[in-house]
Amino acid sequence: MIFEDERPLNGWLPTHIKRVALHNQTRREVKWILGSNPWAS
Amino acid sequence: MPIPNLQISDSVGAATYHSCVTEQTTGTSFMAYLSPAVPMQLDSVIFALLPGTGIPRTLGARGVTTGDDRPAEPVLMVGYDFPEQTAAAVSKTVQETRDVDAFLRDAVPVGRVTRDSRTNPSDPPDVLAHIDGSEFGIEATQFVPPDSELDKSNSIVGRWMAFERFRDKVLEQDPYTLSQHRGLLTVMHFGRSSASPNQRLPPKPANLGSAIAALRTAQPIVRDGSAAAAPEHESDVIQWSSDRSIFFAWTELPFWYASPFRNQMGFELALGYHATITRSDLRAELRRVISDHDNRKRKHSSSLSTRPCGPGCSSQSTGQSPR
Repeated sequence: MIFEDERPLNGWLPTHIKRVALHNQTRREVKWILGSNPWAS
Repeated sequence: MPIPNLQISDSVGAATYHSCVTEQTTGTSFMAYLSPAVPMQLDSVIFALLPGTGIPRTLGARGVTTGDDRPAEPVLMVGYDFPEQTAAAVSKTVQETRDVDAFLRDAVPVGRVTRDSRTNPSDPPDVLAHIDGSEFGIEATQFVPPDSELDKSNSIVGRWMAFERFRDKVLEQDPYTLSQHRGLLTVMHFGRSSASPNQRLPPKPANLGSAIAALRTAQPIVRDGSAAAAPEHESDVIQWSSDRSIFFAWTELPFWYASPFRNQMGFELALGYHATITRSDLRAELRRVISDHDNRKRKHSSSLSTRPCGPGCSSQSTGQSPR
């Protein structure tokens, strides 16, 4: 359910952490929920 | 693979659903409770089976909250999940490094990880990774769906840790004294289904002895055929302890099933429980986890990698505690 949530942080932002990713090890799925993938390109 | 029959009936008022999953061809029966903690409309039932068996690995239901006092939102009810220990327990730092390695495997294109990631000696951040020749600090944590019904002195993590403690106590017993369970998956449900969530937890250390005694006294019921498919009475598929503080359900394990617990005791022991998780619960827990890490002093610009653990998550039995 958390992977399907389009606004998991619902507008809230941490002070220091700039990027947050969810990782499902079983499905090998990564979803960036704050910031973007710095290694995408 | 045969598909189990799944029956959900409104058995105790409007809010408690009793479900019974049975698998006729393998002669096994299984029972779990699905009790929504909030008013909800059921949309679908979720279940997963151990490969090649009729044994549930996960049982739940999902839907949407209802009621005039709150906006509708997605909700998940978990009736049962069967964590599998897939690796030996390791230290927290080793687990963090393993989790970051798995994360990098899936988040970074092949060939761009230039050095093995390693535990940061001046944590935080937990782990240092090297990508394209640059160093990145990564905080790692496991995300465990919360159980908002539990009070602050208990938690879903605490529930699993208490059950792990109970399993450890069982492992100290002579397998001969529990031989009636041999070859079976024994699911223990603590507390009455209608009891409060804080009364449905595995035993505290002072009560481990009585729970062990109940396990020794229990006489497994394994139904087959029509008796399993359509039990007439609750007692056809479950058994209460004499003080009705614990109930048991059993199903046959496939011959190939192996685990450290089964190898030693001859059977497997699982925790029956039910919990309701709304999207708001997940968001609040995610914010709590991120805030915890955000408040730590840091020398590096850090990213946080969270590894969600859902029903059927394989890590609960590793002894690793989410942070």
